[in-house]
Amino acid sequence: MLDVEDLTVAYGDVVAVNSVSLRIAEGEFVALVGSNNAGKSTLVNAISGVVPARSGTKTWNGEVVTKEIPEKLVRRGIVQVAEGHQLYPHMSVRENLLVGGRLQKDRSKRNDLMETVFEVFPRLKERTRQQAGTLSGGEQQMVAIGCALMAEPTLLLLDEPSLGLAPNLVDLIFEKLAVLNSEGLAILLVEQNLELALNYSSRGYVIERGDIVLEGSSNDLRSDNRVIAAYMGLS
Amino acid sequence: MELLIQVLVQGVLFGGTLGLIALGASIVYSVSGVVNFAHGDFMVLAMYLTLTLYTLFGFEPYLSLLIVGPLMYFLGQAVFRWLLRPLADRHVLLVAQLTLGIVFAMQGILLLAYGGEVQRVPSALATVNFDIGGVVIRAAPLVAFVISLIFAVGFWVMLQYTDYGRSVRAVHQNPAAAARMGVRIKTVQYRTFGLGLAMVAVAGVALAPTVPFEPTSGLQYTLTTFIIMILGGMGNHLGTLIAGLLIGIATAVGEVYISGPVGQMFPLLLFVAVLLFRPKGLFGTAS
Repeated sequence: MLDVEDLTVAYGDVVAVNSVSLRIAEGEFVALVGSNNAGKSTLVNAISGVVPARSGTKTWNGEVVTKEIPEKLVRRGIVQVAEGHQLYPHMSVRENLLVGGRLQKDRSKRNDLMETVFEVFPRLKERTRQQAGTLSGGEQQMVAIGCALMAEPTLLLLDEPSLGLAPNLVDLIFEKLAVLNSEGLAILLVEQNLELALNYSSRGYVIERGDIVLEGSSNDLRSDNRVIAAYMGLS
Repeated sequence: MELLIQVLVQGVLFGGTLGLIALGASIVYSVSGVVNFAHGDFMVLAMYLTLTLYTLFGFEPYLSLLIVGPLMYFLGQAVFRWLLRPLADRHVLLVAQLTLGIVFAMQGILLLAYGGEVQRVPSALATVNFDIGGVVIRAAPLVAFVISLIFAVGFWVMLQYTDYGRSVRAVHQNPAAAARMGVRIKTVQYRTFGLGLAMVAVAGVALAPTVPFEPTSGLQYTLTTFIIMILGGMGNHLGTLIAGLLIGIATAVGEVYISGPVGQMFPLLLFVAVLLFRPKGLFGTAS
């Protein structure tokens, strides 16, 4: 479905992602792990088109989409969940979701989409009129994911959804992601919490200083000595 | 007592239009951070366009809204796309400097095209007055107020209930998230700049029959606009409208009760006094 080949991203002279190749099949749950500043976020931002690639190609279902702007990629089904949990703080939950679903011009379809989001996160239904900025961190993360779901993704890109959340909320969010994945949604998850990421994903990439140094099934990665030495030992 | 009511009415009528002018600048600031020193001059340009339509075709001034409004909308898009946007990633003062340059260019062009005399666009309404229990209400400022109010309310409805309006608020509140959700930030920015100029153009058309103007009138309105924006809380649209009314009233009070230079300074004194106690403006929120 998504094929990234030799993608390089640089900010001025600083190369953040160095000739990286990555593949996500339909309905797959893929983790991208690595330490701080390894280039994880940059790679995801390059996939969603927010950051331009310097070289390399992105192919989506056989079509080259390297130079497409985020709006077009969203229309194709590649949707990134906004990071930082804080969405549009002075807009209601409903309005936040409507921004996510604005490309769907059919009003009744849009309402159906919102109902689907409420089925995934029933707590949001009780808070439709509440300002997003007054929600708890977990609820804001639900809104952020809900916004992305409003755009009818086939591939969901997530950048550290566990950041700053209490453990029970992290579990809740990841359980929901697992359900969405089992319904056919492909997920690319960037996560610093390696154990969490490898528990939920089926395949993973380890990125270090802009290079992919390891890839394989999540089970293999979890028992890989190098991974254990580099990351697991800390936890 | 009658005088007081008279002053208040006059102030509110003028203040409503001032509010619309400032709203046009406020919305531009909220999505692109551009402080446009040529804002008032674009209004004066709209006034001259109204005058031209009247002298060439005998257009009733208020009807020229239908032409001048859209014209300024597209002019605004062009100015943003080709003049402001290329500087957008540079220092904010560069953009301010450029808009200041536009001020002098436009003043020069208007001076060449129309000469320096003070103009007013004749309208049948200019001489119509209503006398309500001793309080005289002139029809032309009343119409200007009503037009301004209609457009301000229309703007608010659009901001609240349309996809474009939600995109504008999204870009203002969290541009990074908006970009990730596929909102075309640049498109929102230049459409909004066009809309801001269309709003100031509406105000210009509405004022053209009641307020005399000359090529250099713009800067005064720009300064008043900035005062209103700061007083209302930068980026707070409703606060901006209310601050417009307050400055309108302060202007009228200063003219009638104090007179002379001190009277003209009265809105500024009020402005300074408010900022002493509320540095973020009357309705500004810490952010």
